[in-house]
Parts: sequence; C-alpha cells; structure tokens
Amino acid sequence: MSVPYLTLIVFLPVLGMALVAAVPGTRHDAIRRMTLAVTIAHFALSLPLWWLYKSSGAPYQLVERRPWITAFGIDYHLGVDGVTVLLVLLTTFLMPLAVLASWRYIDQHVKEYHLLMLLLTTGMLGVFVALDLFVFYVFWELMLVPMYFIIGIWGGERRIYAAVKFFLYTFIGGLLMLVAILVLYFYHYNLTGTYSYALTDLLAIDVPLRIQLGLFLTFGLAFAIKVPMFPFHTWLPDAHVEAPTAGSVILAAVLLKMGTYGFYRFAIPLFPDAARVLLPWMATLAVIGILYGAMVALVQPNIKKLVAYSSVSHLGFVMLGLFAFNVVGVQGSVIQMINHGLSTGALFFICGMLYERRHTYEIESFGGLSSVMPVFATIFMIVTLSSIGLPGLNGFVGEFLILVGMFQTHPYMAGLATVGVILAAYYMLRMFGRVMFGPIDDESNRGLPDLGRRELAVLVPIVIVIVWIGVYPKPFLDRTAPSVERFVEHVTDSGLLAVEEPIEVEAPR
Amino acid sequence: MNPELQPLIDAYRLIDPSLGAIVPVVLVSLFSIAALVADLFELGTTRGPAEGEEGLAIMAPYLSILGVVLGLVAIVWQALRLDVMAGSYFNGMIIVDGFGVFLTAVILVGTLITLLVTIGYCRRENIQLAEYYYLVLMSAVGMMLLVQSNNLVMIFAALELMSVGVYVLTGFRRRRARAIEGALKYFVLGAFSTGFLVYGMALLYGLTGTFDLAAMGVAVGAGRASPLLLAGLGLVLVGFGFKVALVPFHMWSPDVYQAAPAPITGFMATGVKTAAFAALARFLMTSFDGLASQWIPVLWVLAVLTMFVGNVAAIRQDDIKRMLAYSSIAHAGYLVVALVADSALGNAAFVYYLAAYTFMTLGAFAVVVALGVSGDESTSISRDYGGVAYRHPMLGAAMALFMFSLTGIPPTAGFFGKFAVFSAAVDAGHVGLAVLMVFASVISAYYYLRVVVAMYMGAPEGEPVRVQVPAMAVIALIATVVGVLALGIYPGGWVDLARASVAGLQHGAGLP
Repeated sequence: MSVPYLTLIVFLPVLGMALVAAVPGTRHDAIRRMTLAVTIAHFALSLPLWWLYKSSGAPYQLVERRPWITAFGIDYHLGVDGVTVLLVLLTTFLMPLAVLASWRYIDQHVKEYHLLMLLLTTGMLGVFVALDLFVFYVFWELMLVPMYFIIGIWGGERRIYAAVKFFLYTFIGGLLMLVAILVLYFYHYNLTGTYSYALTDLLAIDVPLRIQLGLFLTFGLAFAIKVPMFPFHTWLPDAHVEAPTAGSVILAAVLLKMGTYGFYRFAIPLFPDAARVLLPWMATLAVIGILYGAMVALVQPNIKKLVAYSSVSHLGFVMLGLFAFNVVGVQGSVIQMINHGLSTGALFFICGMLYERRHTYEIESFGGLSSVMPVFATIFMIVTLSSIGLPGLNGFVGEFLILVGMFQTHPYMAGLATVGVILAAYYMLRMFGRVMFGPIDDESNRGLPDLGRRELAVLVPIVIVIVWIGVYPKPFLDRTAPSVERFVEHVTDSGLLAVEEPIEVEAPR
Repeated sequence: MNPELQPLIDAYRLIDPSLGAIVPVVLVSLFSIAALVADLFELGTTRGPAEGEEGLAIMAPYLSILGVVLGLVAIVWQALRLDVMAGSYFNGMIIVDGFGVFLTAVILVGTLITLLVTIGYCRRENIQLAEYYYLVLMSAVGMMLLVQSNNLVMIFAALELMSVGVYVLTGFRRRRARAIEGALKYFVLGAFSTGFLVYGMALLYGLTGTFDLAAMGVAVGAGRASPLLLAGLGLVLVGFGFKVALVPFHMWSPDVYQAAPAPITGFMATGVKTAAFAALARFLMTSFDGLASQWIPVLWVLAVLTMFVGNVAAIRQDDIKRMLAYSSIAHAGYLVVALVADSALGNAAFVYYLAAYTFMTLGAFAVVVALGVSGDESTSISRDYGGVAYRHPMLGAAMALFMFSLTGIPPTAGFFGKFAVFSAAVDAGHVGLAVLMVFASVISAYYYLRVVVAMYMGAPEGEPVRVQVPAMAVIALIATVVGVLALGIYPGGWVDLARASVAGLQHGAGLP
C-alpha cells in the first residue's frame, strides 16, 4: 500500500494541533469544537483499519519501513496485528468522548489542554503501532510528557505530587528498558553481524535463558509499572484520583494497556523461555493484584479511588490471561483489555459527571440519586454490571475466557482469581447501591439535573459497544485469533525449553 | 623585488601551508582586537557614558559577532577541505582533524549564542565595556586552540588563554561581593589545578622525552607502565578534572557559576567544558591508548561519583544557576561514561553529546538571562519561576523543552545523546555503568521537573514581573530550540558527522 496509512493515523493529531493552535486562546468554545472535530475526523480515519486488517493475512500488516538513523540500524518501522487494531480503535474511539467530557470541567488554559490531548494521542498510537524497538521507546517516553502536564496542571489538590510520581515511575522503568533493548540489540549484532532494532529481526534469534531472564525482568519492570502489577501500582491511585476526568479515562483505558500490550508484543515473545520459567511468579503477582486491588477497593470511601483500585484488580485478570499461554486465556486477556478500557473509562466519566454536579467524590455525600437522575442511573447500572462481568455484557466474555484458559494450566490460580470476581461484584454493587439507592439524605442531591445531551453523547456510544461485545464478541475474537494463536505458538514451542508440555512448575506460596 | 624582503618571503613560504590550519583562530583573534580598538575611537566621541553606565561599546558587540560568524565560515571551509587539510601543522603543535574541526564548530556556535544573549544582558545591566567582548572572544580562541592542540605545551598555553579570560569575566560585575568572591575562588583553584597539570606534564615529559601527543603515545606503548608514568597521568587527570568539574574536583563550580553573569555562566558550562573535555579525550586516546586498561577503572569511578554527587546535590538547589551548575557536573559524568567505553562508538557519542549539551545548556541559560531584570537576575526557582509559562508562553515552552532535553526525553538532542552514550557503554560491556547512569538520570528528572512544575503549575510570588526579550536573545533562543529539536528528531546526519569526526582519534592515528 503506497499511502502511509499508519503514519497518517499516528500523526494526524499533530496536524490537528496546528489547527487548534491557530484558534485564538480566548475563544474556548471554538478550541473545544475544533479539537472535537479533529478527534472525530481521526476516529473516522482510523475506522477503516477494522477492514483493512485481514486476519488471515501476514502477522504484521500495513507495514511501513523507512530508514531513520542508518548508523545505528534504526528504522521508522510500523505495523499492526489483530490486537493492535483493537487498541488503536479503542484509543481513537475514546478521544472524542474525552474531549466532550472535558467541555465544562476544563476552564483554564483551555488551549494548552487540548493541544496536549492531541499530542498524547500521537504518543499512545505510536506505542501501539511501532515495530522497531527504538521507535517504540521514543513514543513510550513521548506520551509521558503530555500526561504529566495534564495531571500536573488540571488535576486535583495533590496534582503535582501525583504528576511527578507518575513521571518518575514510568521514566525509571522506561530507561532500564532502554538499556535492556541495547543489550538485546548488541546481542543480535554479535550473532548476526547486522544492526537492527526491528522486532521481527530480534524475534528470530535464540537468546540463552540466563540473558533472557535478566532482559525479561527489565522489560517486565517497565511494563509492570505501567500495567500496574502489584507491587508497582502505588503511583496509580494517586495519578487516577488527581487527574482531571479525561486524564483518568485515558490513563485507565489506554495508558495501562500499554503495559499489558508491551508484555504481549515485546516482553513475552522476545523472551519466551524466561516468560515460561517465571510464569508462576508472574501469575502469583497477578492474582495478588486481583485480590489486593479488590480488597482495597472494598474499603474506599471515595468513588474515584474505588474505581482506581478496581483497575488494579481488573488488570490483574488481563495479566493472568496472558500468562495462561493458551489461546483461550490470551484471547480473553485481549478482550479484557478492551473491556476494561470501555467500562473503567465509562466509570471515570461517570465519576467526573458526579463531581461536576457535587464537587466531591465521597460516596457518603450521595444516596438516592436514582430517583432524581433515572437516565444516569440506568447507564451507571449497565456500566457497573459490565465491570462486574455480568453475562450478556462485555466484562463477562473476557473474564470467563481468562478463567477457562487459566483453569486448564493452573487451576488453583484460576480458583483464587474467581474470588476476585466475587469481591468485584460486592464492592461495585455496594458502591452503586449507596450512591444511587436509599433515601436522599443530603438536600443538595435533590435537585441534581439528569444527564444532558453532551453527557449522553459521551456515555451512549460506550454502552453500545459494551452490549455489542457482550452479546456478539465474535468479530472481536475473529480479528485477534490468528495473532493470538501465533503468540501462543511462539511462546510454547520456541527456544530452549520446548520439550515439556505443559510445563509443570511449582507455584510459590 | 627588494632582496631585503627575501628572508621574510622565505619565512612566509615556510609557514604558508600551516596558515590554513589556523584561519578560524586568526579571524576570531583579529576581531577581538578590533572590538577593543573600536572602543577607543568611540570613547572620543561627544557622547560619553551616561550616568550609571559603564563604557560605551557600540561597535564591539557587532564586531565580535562578525568575527565569530567568519570563524564559523572558516571552520566550514576547513571541514569541506578536510581530506586535503588533515594533518599536523606548526611542527606538530596544531592538528587539523575531524574531531578538532567538529568541536571547534560547536565552540564557535556556543560563543555566538553567548554573544547574542550577552548584548541584551549588557545593555540591561549597563555594562557596555568592549573588554567584555574581547575577553569572550579571547577565551574562545583559547578553546579553539585547545581542541586542536597536539602537544602538551600547546595544551597548557591554550588552557591558560581560555582560563584567564573566564576568570576575569566571572568577576566582571565587580561591585558585587559575590562576583569578586567567585572570581577569586575560581582563580585560586584554577591556578592550583594548573599546578597539578603542569607537574603531571613535566613527569610525562621526563619519562617519555616528548611533549608531542602522538610521539608520547609511541613512547608509552602498551602493557606495563612504570608507577611514575601513572603518577604523571594521574596528575594530568586531576588537572583536567578541575577544569571540567569532575567529582571530587568540582567544589568551585557552583559558587563560580552563581557568581558569574548569567550569559558567562552558560559560556563556561558549555565552551570551557567542551574544550577541556576535548583535550582530555585527545590526550587519553592518542597518548595513553596503550594503557587504557589502567585509566578506564579510574574514569569509571569518577563517572559514577560525578553523576551521583552532581545529581543529588542539584535536588536541593533553589537558585537555578546553582542547579544548572550541579546539573552540568552530572552531565560531565555522562560524558566520562562515553570515554570509559573507549571505542569509536563511545567517542562518537562523546562528540555528539557535547554538541547536544551545548545547545540545551545554552538554551536554558538564555531563558535564565531573559527572565532577569536590571540588577536582579531573578534566579530563584520557587520565587521567580512561579507561573512563568503563562506570563511568557514561548519562554516557558522553550525552557520546558530544554529541561526535558536535559532529562533525556525524546525527541530531543539530550535524549539521543544519552541513548548514544548508553549504546557505547553497553557495547563496551559496561552494562552496570549504563544502569547506574539510568538511576542518575532518574534523579535528575526530579529537579529538572521542578523547574517545569514551577513554571506551569506554580503561582507567582508577589507582583509578577513581565520582561521584554531583546531581539538578539530571541534569535539565540530560536537557534537553541532548533538545535535541540534538529539533533533530536533527525540525529542521523549528526551521528554520521560525529562518527566521521572521531575516525582518526584512536590508536595513535593522530600521527602526522
């Protein structure tokens, strides 16, 4: 294909920045409308990806490769697989909604905010489509800067602390990963005599287990911080709670996926033997994350914090599914990435809407809202149930596949994780009940307006997709199946330990 | 023809081929003197210095800028003719090679940016003395000669020429106690360090019988070294360590950086460091390549100390000039990491990093200068930088860019510089050192972010001051922003240039 389609998708927001920058800084509504138009156009531009990607075709499609820094063998190298397609579409789908949701919340430095949102989009998409490890790293760090500003300028009270913490956590993980990338790069050079950062080239070599372990742990650290896996999650509640609504949404829906996606696309395929050796440990951390996140969510008096901790729990499921190393589990994990993006994204939107009405996130201050805001209550209910994993909605599909996949290899892990599902139902429903039902204790809740048109425009599209995936996930599963199969195949029969099947390793207590 | 002129013509014929090697140096020297002389004529005009004004230099700034620009043209000319011009001149005193030409260009660009920033600064502070420009240019001449020296005597002379100018410039605001203190401190410690350097050189001369770097390389040879030879090497390292502010020889630099006028601080942080580092690298690579296994562990330790002490100390600084002083110490540590790699890649990374560092540091200082007001440089991060980004969106954005570049965030020059240094270290098997550098960089992110936090997330204390940025300083800022982004987004061409420039540096290839 001669049109550099992926480049267009990645860099259209940067072009959009020029348009937004041309609007005078005092005309706030014009800036918002312009950004909305850019993001909608961007979504429209990226939508054909759904059809252009042929699941029966090559592993990486729409590939673009041009030399960038020849002395180091660095290519500008992009390409998508089935999972990438879904994540790119998730991102472009959520951006217009995020802009809409910021319409009234952001009233200071409006222009800067929207410019940063667009820059952030470019950074995120670049991370997803990069096939060259150097390019991947560049985008990985690039998206850090706008997010740092979004939290630090438009966030809540402790925003500076949260922004710096977010930055430093990601930065240290990223830099260590860069060193690991270099080690791998020179290892590849010593074997083959060519300099290359291309994922495809680096996948082709066999790395001894000892080196694999070190590199997997280093890559894994960068991604585990981002996911976040227990015990690297401590930045997340701060960042989530302090970030403005749209920031939280993007953080939860897209940025966290970069961690799991990094495991899926880089860490595990590059170091499959290490991944298999460390499987019990990774799975254990994932299960701890599921249970720990759920239990902390249980006692949160603050809706936003509760949702933030529920993220830790849900991402634990995604990790667990990835490390099932069978098609069912990984499929579930991929679907769960999208699900979490949709339902947790929607939950953060809902938190923002409550905050705009009452300027608080405390569960205590609400109660009985369902009688004053019936439409809101309905949508909130659907999203809550989706997050819990009620059959018929998207969450069920992902969690079910993950548990089935994990049950085949590590039944006790799956058993423990199930407890997380039950806890999730408990804390989500309890929160929902305390916010929406019961008597209206607080007089200021009585006159709250129901959802406006703008707010409906934010939530309804998400609800539609939630129901779609829940009822008919086949198109999503079909798109990702070949990629997932290749992933599983690569992990289970490549390299040095390709004998036993499935590997019996004692899980650490 | 007059036969009496014949000896002169013969002498000219003898040095003629050598002249081409020093055209840039000659041009800059001539214009520095021209600046000084022009001032004499201006003082005779009817308009003398006004009340509170020092001097009346009108031509000097423009003459010095012209001189530096012509010097740059000459350097480009040398670079284009490098295949025929490469070699040593003046009996091996001066060497023309890619390394020298590349770094001379970096120094001249740095000097040019310094001058552009200086003009507005001097007008604001009422220091209109031609001597100021003369000293900047003469220091630059010293730096240029330093990177092209191929002989220890020449290195010493050039180092002194550079240093004396900077000593005076440090104390140029002579009515301030702090400036006097800083200048004195710099002078005394500088002289002290020169003592180490000279003593080391004397030892090396005594043992090898030559001052010529390449010949010394042959005499030193490889394998076992005598303790005296190592002592000589150690003393020279200490001397250079002072000049480039490696820990534990860095104590002077925060005080001196704070005392000097802000444009001069930038000049010192980049030009002096570049020149002294270049001489050190040439010395190590040419004369002591055979003993690399002896000095690599020493530099390894110095690199780690310098990175960590510099970065940790910078965290506590509220004065941005002191913060940048410690940050420049830390960056010296990163540069030493590139030297520790001791490879072609390491040297290319070293050269590239110096170019990147020059742009981002000078840019940061240009913003610092721009934010000052007459008589007050406004250098407190917590007091003066609160909300700056909203009063001066462009200055704020530029400063944020420089801070991110110093941190090493893509797509900036600082990122690719760090990446190149990481590459060199990992390639040479120093993965541990690369990891230590990662931790040091993360520490540095904290204090660079503090500036961004203050500018974008803080509020001004008291009555916010709006400043007018002079046109010349705007040019300097644009140049540095473009430099930081160009080196970061399209590093390919620059990397090739850096690689080509260091091709002849190692393994005694500096022989004529």
